[in-house]
Amino acid sequence: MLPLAAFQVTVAYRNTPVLTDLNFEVPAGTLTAIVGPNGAGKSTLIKTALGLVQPLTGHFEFFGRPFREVDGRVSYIPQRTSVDWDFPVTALDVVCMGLYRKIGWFRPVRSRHRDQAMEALAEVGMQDYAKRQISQLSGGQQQRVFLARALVQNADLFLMDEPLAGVDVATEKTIIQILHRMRDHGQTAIVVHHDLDTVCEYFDRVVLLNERIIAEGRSEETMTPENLKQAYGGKLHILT
Amino acid sequence: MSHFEVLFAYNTLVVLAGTMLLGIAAGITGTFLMLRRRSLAGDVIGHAALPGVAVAFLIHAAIAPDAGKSLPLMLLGGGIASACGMLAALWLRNVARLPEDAVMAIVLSTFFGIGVVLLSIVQASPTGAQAGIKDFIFGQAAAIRISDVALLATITAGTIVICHSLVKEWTLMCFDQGLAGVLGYPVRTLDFLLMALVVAVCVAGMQAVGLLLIVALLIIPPTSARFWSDSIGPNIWLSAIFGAISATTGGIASALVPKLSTGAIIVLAAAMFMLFSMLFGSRHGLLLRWHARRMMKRASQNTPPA
Repeated sequence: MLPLAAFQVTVAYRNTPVLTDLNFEVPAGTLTAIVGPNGAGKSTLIKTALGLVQPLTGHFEFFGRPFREVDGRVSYIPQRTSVDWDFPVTALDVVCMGLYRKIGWFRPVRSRHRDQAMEALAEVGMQDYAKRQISQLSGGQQQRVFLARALVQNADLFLMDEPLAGVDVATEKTIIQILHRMRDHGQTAIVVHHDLDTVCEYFDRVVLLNERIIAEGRSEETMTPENLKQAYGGKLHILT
Repeated sequence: MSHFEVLFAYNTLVVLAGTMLLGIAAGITGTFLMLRRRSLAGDVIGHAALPGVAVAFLIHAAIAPDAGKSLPLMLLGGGIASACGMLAALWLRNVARLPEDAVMAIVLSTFFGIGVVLLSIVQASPTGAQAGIKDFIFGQAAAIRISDVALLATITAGTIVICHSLVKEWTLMCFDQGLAGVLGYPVRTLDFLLMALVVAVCVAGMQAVGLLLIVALLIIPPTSARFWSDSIGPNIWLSAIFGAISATTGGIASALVPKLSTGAIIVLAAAMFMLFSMLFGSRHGLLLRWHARRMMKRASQNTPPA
């Protein structure tokens, strides 16, 4: 069963089309990068898939069903800048949030949940920072906390919005290692990525996006100069 | 009567109980309002109540001209108008896609403007002069009766129960609405519930604090609490304590000096706590920060250059 498939998805903000007629499939046990220039609609794609933005037409299917029916099988890592890091919570509290649905309505977080969250923090090498208020963490550490929060949900599919933006080399290596380990366990990840140099090294597949899908498939076959030129237009000459 | 006797008179104790309960409810609700970055919503809800209060008075005066004013009816009118104001703001933001702060300012001033126009009609009516609508604007805690205390106790108890049950869900909604949506939480309903609670607290507090200044009781205590703790739980109960003490201070002042505007005293008391917390807060207080900086400076000066 395909973890994610898009069927003729078109999205518009106000009167401007942001994504036009998307069709693609993401096979299970793969790491897929969503690549494209600024404003290509990469974040919008993720948000629409998760039901946070309503598409004008078309729909997404997760494991062959609508998102609302796959409770708990999908987890999401938003852009790091999308939350208020001065919020009065610790790193451990944030990871526990990934368990809220499992804990259930009206029930408090118990020590076994905290133990679970601690394990996830240890997995991303952040166990020593559990009690820190989140603004006292560096950008890379904050991103690891977000990753731990996604891991603790034990989902089958991970949607990540720029997890490697503004993080140091060590964090980038950790995150990629974890992604590869996830893939080895048959889990699937779809990652918005902006560094063209590392796409082929880190990811199996690519969706090359600029308002519509320019190309899609295995990384080496998709990241061709012609495709990139088509996606980035004249903007790419400074990069190559 | 001496000051002492006044303070322990039955009427005074009723007023103190009422303001204290209000302070607790506002402190708790306000914590989530602040964390949701909706501080101005309290202001919108307060100001938007005025036309409702005035309309309720006019309707009541038309139906029963000799009955004087009906407090429950005016509060109901205020509550309905507040809710309309809040819904108007949400609608303008979501549908017309205007920036949130602009929407708040627009709705707040428009509703208050309508209220002021209606007020001039009220003042012109024969019973209007005694309508006591001024008390709704600036607050008069001395007017609190035992029946009001019962209402405030109900709202406070409700606030505590609801916040205790939903602390997880509301925290998540305030911190990361996206994740809340992805996890399948009904974000809109949760949001609506929070705003409904804010409206209830505002309406209940209108009589004591006044609709102009109710926002202060919602926002200043949680802001003060933030200087003392980095965890959500202590932030909530500290805010409740700060709110309760500030509101009670206003109640005492109102009892001792009947002409004083209670709302203003409550706000000033809350502001004093805020100032104190800002300076001495054990987590983010300024003194602590200055001290830490000085120690770091000294340490770096004492280290011999490598």
